[in-house]
Amino acid sequence: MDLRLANMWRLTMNEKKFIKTALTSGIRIDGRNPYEYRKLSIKFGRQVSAFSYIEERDTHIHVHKWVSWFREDGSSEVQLGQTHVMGFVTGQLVQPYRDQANEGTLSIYTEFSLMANPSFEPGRLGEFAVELGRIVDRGLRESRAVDTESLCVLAGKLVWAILIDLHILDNGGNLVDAANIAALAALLTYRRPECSLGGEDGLEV
Amino acid sequence: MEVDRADGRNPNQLRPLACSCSILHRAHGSASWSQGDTKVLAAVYGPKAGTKKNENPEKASIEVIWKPRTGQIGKPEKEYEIILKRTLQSICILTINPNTTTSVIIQVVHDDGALLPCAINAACAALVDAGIPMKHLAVAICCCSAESGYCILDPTKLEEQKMKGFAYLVFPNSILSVLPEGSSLVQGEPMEHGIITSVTHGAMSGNLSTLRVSVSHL
Repeated sequence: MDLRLANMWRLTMNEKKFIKTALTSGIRIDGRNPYEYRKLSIKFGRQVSAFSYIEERDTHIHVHKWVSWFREDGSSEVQLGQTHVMGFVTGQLVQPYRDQANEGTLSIYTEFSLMANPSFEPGRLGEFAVELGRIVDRGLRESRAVDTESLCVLAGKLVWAILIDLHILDNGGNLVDAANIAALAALLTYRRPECSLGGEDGLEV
Repeated sequence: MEVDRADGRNPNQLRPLACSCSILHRAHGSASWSQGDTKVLAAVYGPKAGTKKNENPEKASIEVIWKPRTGQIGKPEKEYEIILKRTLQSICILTINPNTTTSVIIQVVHDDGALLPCAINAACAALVDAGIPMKHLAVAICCCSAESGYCILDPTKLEEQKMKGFAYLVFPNSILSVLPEGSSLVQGEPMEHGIITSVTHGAMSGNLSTLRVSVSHL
């Protein structure tokens, strides 16, 4: 109970000294080598299923039958050791910026919630959350991982705006890597809706 | 009356439930609850020292944060937070740890109908996992009625959109805790009419008798 009354994760002097001494002799506290990674597991999307019951009238047997199953687009769940991050991708049709009339936009929303870290106060965007969002954003944007020109529907009028939501569920360290992998994995499974232009200003999705 | 539901369930039949506890490492208590395709993750931190300004410092207070799947927090999320907070305040024993705050964080993973009851169940399971003292557990269910007057339980998203009105009902899991003294006995067993929370949406006039019948089947 005492541990819970502390709002922050506090390390004692002895623990700090122990970690430093172990590092100088090349051992980490969970037994890994200096260059070793924790176990990474990525789950893509979610299998959504639709059931249908078939009843055979004469024998009164209910048979469960899988009618259809498909993967939900644009979601991923990444676990790097104890760190747990979920990414969701959604797209919306918006008006483009004037100076980039034929390119779509990519934006990342990261909220470092209380779920991951007990010291975070809700309602205030912490520095680290902003920094994490910027790192993931720059990584995806400057490496041209997303081809923004292909997001254009009607030059100057309508483009796709892709929004990536990163939910940090558990902070077990190395959020930068986990967040980047989650964003990329979610983007890989995302399929933007089909969109065709009809008539002068009609738009069918 | 015969009702055709898209996935072939009876009107009183619930979707398959799944619950797992202790899935997060940093949180003191965590649980994931899914009813069919609706999945909600709940994490509990507590008790932490101190209460907020407008809370009673002589009691423990509960703080709820609702995080939607995508987008920013808006009015519907605030409403869910208030409902959840009141429900949890009535089941937790607030006099044990005065002047502390217990935080409950709800993360929506997928919404396929009956989201709030799923969240209440998940929050209750997470509180149990964290060891927060409670009087009893809370069981939540969604019950909705259609134009023609029939009631169904645990609707999916498609079914919810077709319904005229729906109610979320939360019950304690021990009958004797909320019944007043000298309550009526029906066939030798105390009648369950204790309800902790009920939220209603839409027009439901004239359907209460069928609602009570379907609820007593739970």
